[in-house]
Amino acid sequence: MNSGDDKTGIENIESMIDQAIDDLFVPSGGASKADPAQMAKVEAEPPQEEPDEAVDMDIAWGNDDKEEAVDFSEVVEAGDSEGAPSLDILRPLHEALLSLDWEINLHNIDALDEEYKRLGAMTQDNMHAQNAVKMASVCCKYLRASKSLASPLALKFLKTTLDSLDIFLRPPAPNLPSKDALVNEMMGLYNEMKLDANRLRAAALKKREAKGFTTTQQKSAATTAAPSSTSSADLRSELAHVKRTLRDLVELVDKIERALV
Amino acid sequence: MSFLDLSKREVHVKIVYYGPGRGGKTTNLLHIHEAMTDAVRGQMVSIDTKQDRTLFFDFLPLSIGKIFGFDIRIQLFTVPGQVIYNATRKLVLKGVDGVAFVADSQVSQREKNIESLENLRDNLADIGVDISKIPLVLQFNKQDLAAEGIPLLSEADMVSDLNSVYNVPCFNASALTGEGVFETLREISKTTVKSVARKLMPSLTSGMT
Ligand SMILES: Nc1nc2c(ncn2[C@@H]2O[C@H](COP(=O)(O)OP(=O)(O)O)[C@@H](O)[C@H]2O)c(=O)[nH]1
Ligand SMILES: [Mg+2]
Repeated sequence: MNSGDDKTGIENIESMIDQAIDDLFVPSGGASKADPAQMAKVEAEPPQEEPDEAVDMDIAWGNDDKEEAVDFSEVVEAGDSEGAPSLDILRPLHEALLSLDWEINLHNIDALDEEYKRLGAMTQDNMHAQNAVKMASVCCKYLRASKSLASPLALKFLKTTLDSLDIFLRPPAPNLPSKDALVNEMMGLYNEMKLDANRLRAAALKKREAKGFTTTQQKSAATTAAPSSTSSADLRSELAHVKRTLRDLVELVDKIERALV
Repeated sequence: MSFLDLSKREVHVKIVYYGPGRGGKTTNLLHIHEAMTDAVRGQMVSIDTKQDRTLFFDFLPLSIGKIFGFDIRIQLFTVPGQVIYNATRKLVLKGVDGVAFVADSQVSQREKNIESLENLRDNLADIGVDISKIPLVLQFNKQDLAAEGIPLLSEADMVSDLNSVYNVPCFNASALTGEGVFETLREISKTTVKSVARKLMPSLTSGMT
């Protein structure tokens, strides 16, 4: 209060702030690399949850003839497939897919898979829908094996499948796009996804050969607070971590609020 | 709401990196963490699922030094993108002073960017903050993917999708290589610290000896 002369104006402070930040946040090319020990990594998931390498992602795609055996003979006209599904029956599936799209984790994969099962049971008389659900289920299996290391085409495939289902499950009407064209698009994507998955897997295999298991070892070394139990996919421990962190965060927010009063 | 500790002469400023899941928020913070010296950075805390995405949030405190005898600390947070964690996002937003919105420039992510920005606006409104009044910068991340033949949204499209209303500074970036990361951080830090300083001005000057 005793230094309240004109120099302490806001402009002065602002230029000091600019200066301090310019001096500080310079993208320094020769910046020191982070010491892994500096990182307080809290693993909220048992290590087994995630495949260490894409090599663990090998799943049975089914024989290639299987797709040919799929009956796509029925030809019906369909409509606009943009955006969210128009059919109520597909809403839960859409939501599950959105969740998975935000975060690929076991919980979200299971939820989506459940939705496909439910839908499959409800649409047994619809050949197109049945085939779409079948392929989507294989895709879920792939996601479960590869999680966030999965080919990005997997989600694209699921999204396309949802759009297609939105047409397949509508009553026949004029001005709808051809179901055959949709099936072709789905099949094309499905095959692309398979190729990409195999490509990723081959690349990961090569990497593993070159590196041995160092990656795995480094990963666990960087873990300072891994859960003691490395048993199965343990959602409970994940939730416990989340709870604890939430509590800490709430406390932090409270502290800040108290300090402001 | 920033935090001013007169006795310790500290000002805490909270900046949240917001955006769709997988957009590159954590990667931004990792790059910042790696590039800063120990004198500036604190310990980065990541709560994750051992996947490459944030389940919960990341936290990185930075100290920008003394201004007018006050220690200015910047706390960087990220939020989880996934829909089911909206409650967490709201919690992390509580007391926010500035937001860096990290958008994914891939054509396939167009809707998600828009959705996430709307979600930011709604969540801020819920805690009584008008998005057009809070320091905000946009980052168009993953520019490097163009070189791999992955279709990216043009800058014009990104601007018309995300910035036609707010008209805030935008930065092209590739958090993976670090390009644009510090430009984004610098801009959001400046505008945020200044806006906090303006609010705290009376206390700051009266707290001086
Ligand atoms: N090619 C590329 N990949 C990026 C970039 N930024 C992030 N990623 C990748 O995108 C994925 C998600 O990034 P992350 O920072 O975890 O996203 P968050 O969910 O917003 O925190 C990771 O695999 C990153 O390596 C970028 O600028 N370019
Ligand atoms: Mg993250």
